[in-house]
Amino acid sequence: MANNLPIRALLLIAVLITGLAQSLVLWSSFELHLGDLLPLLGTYAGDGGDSLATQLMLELRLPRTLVAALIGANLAVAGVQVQALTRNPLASPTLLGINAGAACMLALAVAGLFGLAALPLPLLALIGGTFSALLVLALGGYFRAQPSPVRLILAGIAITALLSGLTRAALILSEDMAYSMLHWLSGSLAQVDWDSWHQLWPLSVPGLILALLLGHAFNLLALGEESATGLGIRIHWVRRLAAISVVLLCTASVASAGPIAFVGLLVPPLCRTLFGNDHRLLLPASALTGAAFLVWADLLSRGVAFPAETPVGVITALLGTPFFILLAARSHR
Amino acid sequence: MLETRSLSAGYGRTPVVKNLNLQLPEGRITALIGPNGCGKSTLLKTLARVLKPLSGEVLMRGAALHRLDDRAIARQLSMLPQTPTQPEGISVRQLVEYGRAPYLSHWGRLKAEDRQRVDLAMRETGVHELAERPLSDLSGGQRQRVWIAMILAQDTDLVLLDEPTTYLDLAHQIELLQLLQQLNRNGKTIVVVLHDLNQACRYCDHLVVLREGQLVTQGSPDEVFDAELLATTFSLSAQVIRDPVAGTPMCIPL
Repeated sequence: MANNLPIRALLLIAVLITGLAQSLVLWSSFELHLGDLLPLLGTYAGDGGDSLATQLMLELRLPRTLVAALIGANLAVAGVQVQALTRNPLASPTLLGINAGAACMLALAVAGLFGLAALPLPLLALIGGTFSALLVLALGGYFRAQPSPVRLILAGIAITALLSGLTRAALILSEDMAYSMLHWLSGSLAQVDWDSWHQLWPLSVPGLILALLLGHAFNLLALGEESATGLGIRIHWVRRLAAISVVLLCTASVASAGPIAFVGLLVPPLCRTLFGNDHRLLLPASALTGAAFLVWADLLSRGVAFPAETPVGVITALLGTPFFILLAARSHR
Repeated sequence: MLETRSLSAGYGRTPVVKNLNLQLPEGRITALIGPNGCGKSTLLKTLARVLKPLSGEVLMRGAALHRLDDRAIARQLSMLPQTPTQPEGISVRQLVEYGRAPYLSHWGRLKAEDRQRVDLAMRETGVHELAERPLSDLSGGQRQRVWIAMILAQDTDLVLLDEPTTYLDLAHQIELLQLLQQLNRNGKTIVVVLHDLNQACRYCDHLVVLREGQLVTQGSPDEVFDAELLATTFSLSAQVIRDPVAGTPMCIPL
């Protein structure tokens, strides 16, 4: 495995770059070609290039592509962390109820409750996601001396169910707005613009850096709490920092594009098979793979019913479900 | 080297170990023995600071353990839990390398000296031929030696082990106890929780006998291990004879 590691890494980067380039030009109502990318680069170099194609790519395609890549990286890295913390290879970031909390908050706002509608959408998602994550972590005994993964998972399931119920109730109260909510709830990159990017990166970058710094600590945490303590790891700090990172990554993502399923669940196990279990390599590899995966899924979401758009969350779920079943079957062998 | 002062410890708020004053002798193998639930594992975990004391303190070379820096402690004291979690998809060498963690930079990069230590630890425990094999391929006995290799790579003066023989067959139990003796001869102070009293008498220099969280007695096997101790502490009527091979005390249940 170690011998062809550089090849795998190069292949992964190639897939990502192809995806990024295609994502800028493919499936547009205005005809674009890969060749149009050159004047785009020229724009950044400073020499003219204000054609319609360049404008289109710069204002619509580029932010969407960047947002897709960053959200993919966020969710995959959050997934690796949640799986390391719970020592459960099939755990996903949705476990912490972040998506459900963000969705619930938005639904309450749409229903006109508590005057929440006055607040901007990303802020609402952020508040809801953080609140539900803290609730799940506290109820799940995460801050205790000896947390139990099972209790955390149960708390996550309970809180998610409660919040989803509230979300549905709020949607019934606001029938006229329900369609746009439904679109958001299935996870979509269609409304993404530069504003989304500017909301996304300030939360994502610290979250990603924090996660990458914890790589070696995650390796030692896999030996169990007693051994990790024996090796001088401050377990409580690792847990807290990792929780902060996961909340940052997931709330930022859900605020920009709604809950996108399966990226955080599927990318990490795929990368474990390709790159091994050393978190110092696994975390950056998952970030790149997650980015590539979501960029390509977004491309597909624009292409399958062109010129209509399918929410990208639907595509990741369609791609993800069979893969997940395969994974679950393999893990029980 | 390691001592406890009015130490009470346990899970939650109820103490399992109560008001314990102990001094563990340097350069010896000390066995913690006692009936099930007597608090020997709890004591070991508190010494290894997996559990925080409810009251009292643990001192290492005179300094309160819970106030020292975690990495500094990890360079002097290592711990092998009863059931360490086996991480998935790593090789023997990778696991042993984790033993160097307290010496490494934050990112966990090994230097030449660290690699030498890792190789040495694998040779001392006889697992160097398995170095590139995945951990999951090994038998129980081999795996236990790999964990010991990890502890050795940690290069600490003090080694704590929680029932290291539990999942091993008799031959591998003896092999492991002999390995501990050899490490002790090379200068390590060892504290080990053992269930088998005859093994404790034969392979350890010092016995600490606990019952219901309190110290019953301590001393060398010759001094403390007799029929009366077995009757009062373990509720076992037994005869204590000399081990015909090693000459150490040995119990035969009646």
